[in-house]
Amino acid sequence: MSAKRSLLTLGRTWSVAERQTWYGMNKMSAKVIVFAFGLLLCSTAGLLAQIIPVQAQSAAELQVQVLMAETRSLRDENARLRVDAPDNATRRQTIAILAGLTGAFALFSMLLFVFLARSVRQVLIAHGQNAGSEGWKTYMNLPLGVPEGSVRALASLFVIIFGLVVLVLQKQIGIGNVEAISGFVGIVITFYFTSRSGTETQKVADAAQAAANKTQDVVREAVARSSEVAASAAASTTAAIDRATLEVRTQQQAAPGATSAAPSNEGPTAAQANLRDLRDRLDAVRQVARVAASLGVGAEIMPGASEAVRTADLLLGAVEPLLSGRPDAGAVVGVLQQVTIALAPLENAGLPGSLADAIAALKGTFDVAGPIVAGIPGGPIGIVGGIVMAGLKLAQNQRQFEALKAALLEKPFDPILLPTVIDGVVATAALEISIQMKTILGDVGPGAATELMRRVTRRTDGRQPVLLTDLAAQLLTSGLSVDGQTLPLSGRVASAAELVQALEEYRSSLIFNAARSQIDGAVELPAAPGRPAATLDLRRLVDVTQVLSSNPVAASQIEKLVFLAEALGKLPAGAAAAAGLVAKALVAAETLLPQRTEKREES
Amino acid sequence: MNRIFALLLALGVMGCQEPRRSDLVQLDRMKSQVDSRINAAETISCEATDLICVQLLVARGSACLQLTEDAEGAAARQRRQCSLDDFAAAQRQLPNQAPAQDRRAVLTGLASARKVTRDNTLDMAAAAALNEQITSGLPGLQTVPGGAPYAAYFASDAEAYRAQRGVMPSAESCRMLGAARSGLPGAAVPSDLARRVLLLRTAIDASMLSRSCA
Repeated sequence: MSAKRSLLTLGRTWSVAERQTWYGMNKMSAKVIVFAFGLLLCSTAGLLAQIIPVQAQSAAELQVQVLMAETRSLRDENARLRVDAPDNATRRQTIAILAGLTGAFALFSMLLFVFLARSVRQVLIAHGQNAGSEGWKTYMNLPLGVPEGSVRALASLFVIIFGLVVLVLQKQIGIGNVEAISGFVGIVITFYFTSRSGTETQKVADAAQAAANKTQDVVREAVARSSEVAASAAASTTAAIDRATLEVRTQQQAAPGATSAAPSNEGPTAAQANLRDLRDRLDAVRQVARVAASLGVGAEIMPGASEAVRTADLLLGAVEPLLSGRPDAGAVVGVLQQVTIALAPLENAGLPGSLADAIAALKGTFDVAGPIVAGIPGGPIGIVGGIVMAGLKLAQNQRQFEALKAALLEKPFDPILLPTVIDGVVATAALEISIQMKTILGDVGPGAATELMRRVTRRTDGRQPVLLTDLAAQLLTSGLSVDGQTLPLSGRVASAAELVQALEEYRSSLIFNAARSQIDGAVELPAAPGRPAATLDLRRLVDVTQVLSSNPVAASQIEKLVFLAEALGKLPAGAAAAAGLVAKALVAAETLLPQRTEKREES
Repeated sequence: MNRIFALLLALGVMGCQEPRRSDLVQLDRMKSQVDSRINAAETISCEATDLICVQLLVARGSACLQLTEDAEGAAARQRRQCSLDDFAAAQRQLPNQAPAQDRRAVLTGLASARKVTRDNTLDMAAAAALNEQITSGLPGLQTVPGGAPYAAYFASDAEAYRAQRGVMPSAESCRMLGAARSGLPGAAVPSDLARRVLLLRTAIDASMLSRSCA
């Protein structure tokens, strides 16, 4: 009674529709149970109908049935003789067993549902006071009023058990298509575990989302507080600058023919627009630095990435409050000056700085690279922009990006890029760009390159490329066996390490060629002052990069650019936004170039 | 009397040269066989200039060719030789009125077998001779309906091989590589050839790159 009272107390919070229950279950659930039970009874009755012959029939019908039975009997006998089919008695007996089992299972399921539904209701009543209407809403959403997953488990159990029983009794029933039943049981098992893991994953994702939302709220509050502090600090600093500016302006106005200082002539709206532009640049620096720091390559591609993020955060905190409403003009001018001063070193250390360094490094090797680099739009700037833009373009397609990365860096990041077809012309083409291996092999027939290709592209049992140290040891011991002849290698190299290095070079060449074949299309280079927009063929870009990579300084910069492109491709704003950042950064990099080139020459 | 005896002998020899019922049964068996190893191990005694014998030889030659990369050392060499011998025999036994499909199968198989043997020898002279054989067999393939893309591929391959392996000035090898590249089949490449064309194009590009060809 007390439980019922507490139920009624809670019931006040429900809507009218929610209150309609039937012995602890909602009305819909009850209907579903009745329907399911009816369905089970029908199927059981159907099965029994096959066993018990119908008595009340007309004479004509009986005659037809006798004839049909005779025909069936003959057919059955014939089939039994041909495929060892079971006789009717065995079949009927087996079907009766199955029908009995189905009935028993249905009864067991009903009892279990009633028990579970009652238990759930009792638990809810016991804890209902704390759960409130939310608890009841959850209860109303439970399938058939029982714990989530029970119906699915029971249904799956039924199909699996009976599927297996049917499989065991296949001969007795005379089933021919066993594959269909076993396949069906397999599907049910897969469905059950897939849906279960899906539910679990959803729960984990929901929990993670809730935690993330909570964290975001806390962070938002903290940022708001720090913005206020920064704004007041900025205001007090700029007040001092403002006073000094006012004094200077008064003195200038007093002087004959004096002109006003530029910032003071700008109204607050114009100053705000400038500030907004600076805010965007700051934000760009911050985003890039953040991604670089989070990827763990910050030190490589952007020295002081974490420090840049902190400084940018502080400045953004001071800028944001001044962008809305009608702030004090003096405060805006002051922050504008502060940000302008701070932004230059940040940008120098950030994306434009990295790009300028790469351009300066490639410029030094460009002149000696030969005709292959001629005609590249923008020269070294085009190469640098092309590498980053190509990386961003292919960032969404992991396979394509890996191919580009492997082609640009000639490293087997992905074993899938190892060639699978052995071909003499391909093997020779790779040997031509493997200087060390070419020297070791000397002037021998094509079979040597082909056999070498076969050996370095071989995979271990774990599908990983074969270890080159093992291969080198093997080749030094037994030589390279080609078409019944053996080419000794021990006398051609000074050490095993030298052979490993040559093998590595040869395999990289094969990968480079294979990766290159997967790269297709072109990349757009944005226009800049004094430089029109251009299109750069990706294969041409890869070829030029390969030539330039023979210089270690250029190779190191190219590697940095590839990682930078990978980092930018992961910016939350997306590849298009990142491409916009790079376009701006390339323009800024060009202005930094003389300074960077000078620095490089000095070093 | 002698004339009658000679006529009977000639008829007897001709009769022996006809494919037998057992050859037909063997061909049916080999066509339905999915395991190339079993086909490669078949013994073929059909020596007539007849389509059945040709198809038997093509079936075994193709199986041997397909399995060259599954074996090592002497076994691989034996399979390369098997494919080369079978396709060469099939070409000799090809009837004049053979359908285009069979003619194409024989000629492409022979070119492939020659290419594989060329690519796996240490003997430069033997490789060069095989390369010339590939080139000399191509006009026949070029005229067979549907054979043009295959002929273009093997011609480019042979030209690329000459440019890579020949002793010549860089400008000449660049010219040959350029010709090999432009000679590659472009549109309407059969599906079994598309991958090989892509591979060859990549190899030619790489060779051109290493020579700094414009």
